Amino acid sequence: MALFKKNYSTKSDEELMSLLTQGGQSAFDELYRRYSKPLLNFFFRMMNNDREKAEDLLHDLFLKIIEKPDSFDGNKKFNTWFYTLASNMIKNEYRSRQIRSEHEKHTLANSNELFELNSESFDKNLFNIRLETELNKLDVEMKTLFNLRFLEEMSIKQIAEIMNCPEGTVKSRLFYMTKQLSKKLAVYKPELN
Amino acid sequence: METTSNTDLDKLEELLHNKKFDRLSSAEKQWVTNRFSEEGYTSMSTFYAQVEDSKPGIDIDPKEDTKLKLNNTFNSKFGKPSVLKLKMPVYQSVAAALIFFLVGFGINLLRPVETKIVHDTVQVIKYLPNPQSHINLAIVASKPIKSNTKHKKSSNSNSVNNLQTIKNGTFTDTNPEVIRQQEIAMTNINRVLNEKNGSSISGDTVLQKMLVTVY
Repeated sequence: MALFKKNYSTKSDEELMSLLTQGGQSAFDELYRRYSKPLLNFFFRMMNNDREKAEDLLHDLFLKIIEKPDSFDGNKKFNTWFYTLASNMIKNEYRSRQIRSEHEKHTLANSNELFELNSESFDKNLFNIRLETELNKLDVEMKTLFNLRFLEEMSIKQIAEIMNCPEGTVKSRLFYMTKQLSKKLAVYKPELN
Repeated sequence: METTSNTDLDKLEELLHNKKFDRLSSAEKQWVTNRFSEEGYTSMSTFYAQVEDSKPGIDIDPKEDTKLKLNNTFNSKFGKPSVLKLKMPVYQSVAAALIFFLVGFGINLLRPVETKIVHDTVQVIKYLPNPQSHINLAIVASKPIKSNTKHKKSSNSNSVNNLQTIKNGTFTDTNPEVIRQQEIAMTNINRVLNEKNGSSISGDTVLQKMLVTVY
């Protein structure tokens, strides 16, 4: 049986999508294996560490490629297309929910947990909480930009495609955002004080 | 001195990731100070380092339940995987059939052809073109029959004698002598056939009548 089993791990995302449109369960499994974790973490961060919401979004995202696999344009990169879907879902979620007010409660809860941490991780966690707070003050576009660049480590070109804007715009937004964030968060770095 | 214009971000990020301000070359310092103050460069460099450092802080795995739900949806849309449902181009089916045919043909060619020799005898019945009134008997020496030997022997000798006496007789239904001769002839025919082929014409009434008529 192994003789006839295809090695899906060596196939490109685009090839897997092509097989998925023909009803290939193994192709779907491989795509899920590659993208479920990074996308869950992406949703998790974008949804202010709301695990349940992140799982729901992940489910809905993969549901889209099951229900409408033909919507993928084979000439484009799957990774970019998939993150575009994810970004659009996040935007819709932000529009429909009062994310910011929920986040404030969540941040407060995290701040209480902070006192239980040891001194080594204190600065790191303090920085993370402050960073989250500052990111949530940004609009969803800028927050998505930050996550795609710094956490998903995507190229400027990919981000430009996902956000549907020129590369120059991405660069200038990124520069402006990091400069502002670094100013605000500099207080949490002891050597800078 | 700081600018918010579209900076050469790739070059800036490379410097921010790899070098602190005091490690920059004079040319790099010049390039940076045209865009930032030293403090601005340092805070951005620190920010990049902190973001990099904080990444592993969040790392969660998807629940198995999510995948199970998706599998159910997938199966309800595409159905369970089945060999019969696999889409296959027509040329592949034709090629497979051709290969099977050629392989089968090749196996047949490789197999030696067996010549079957059938040891059998064919009984040829020769029909006489015209009815004959005179019979030239060829008396075949019979093998001794085990059972009823005495009776058979006597009947044989009698029949031979009788046949010899009626050699030139005329066939008529009313002649009792001829009827007797017919019976004897029938007995002889049966005997000869039994001895030669092990077959019997006792069940074949048509053949019996034909042979008797010939007699």
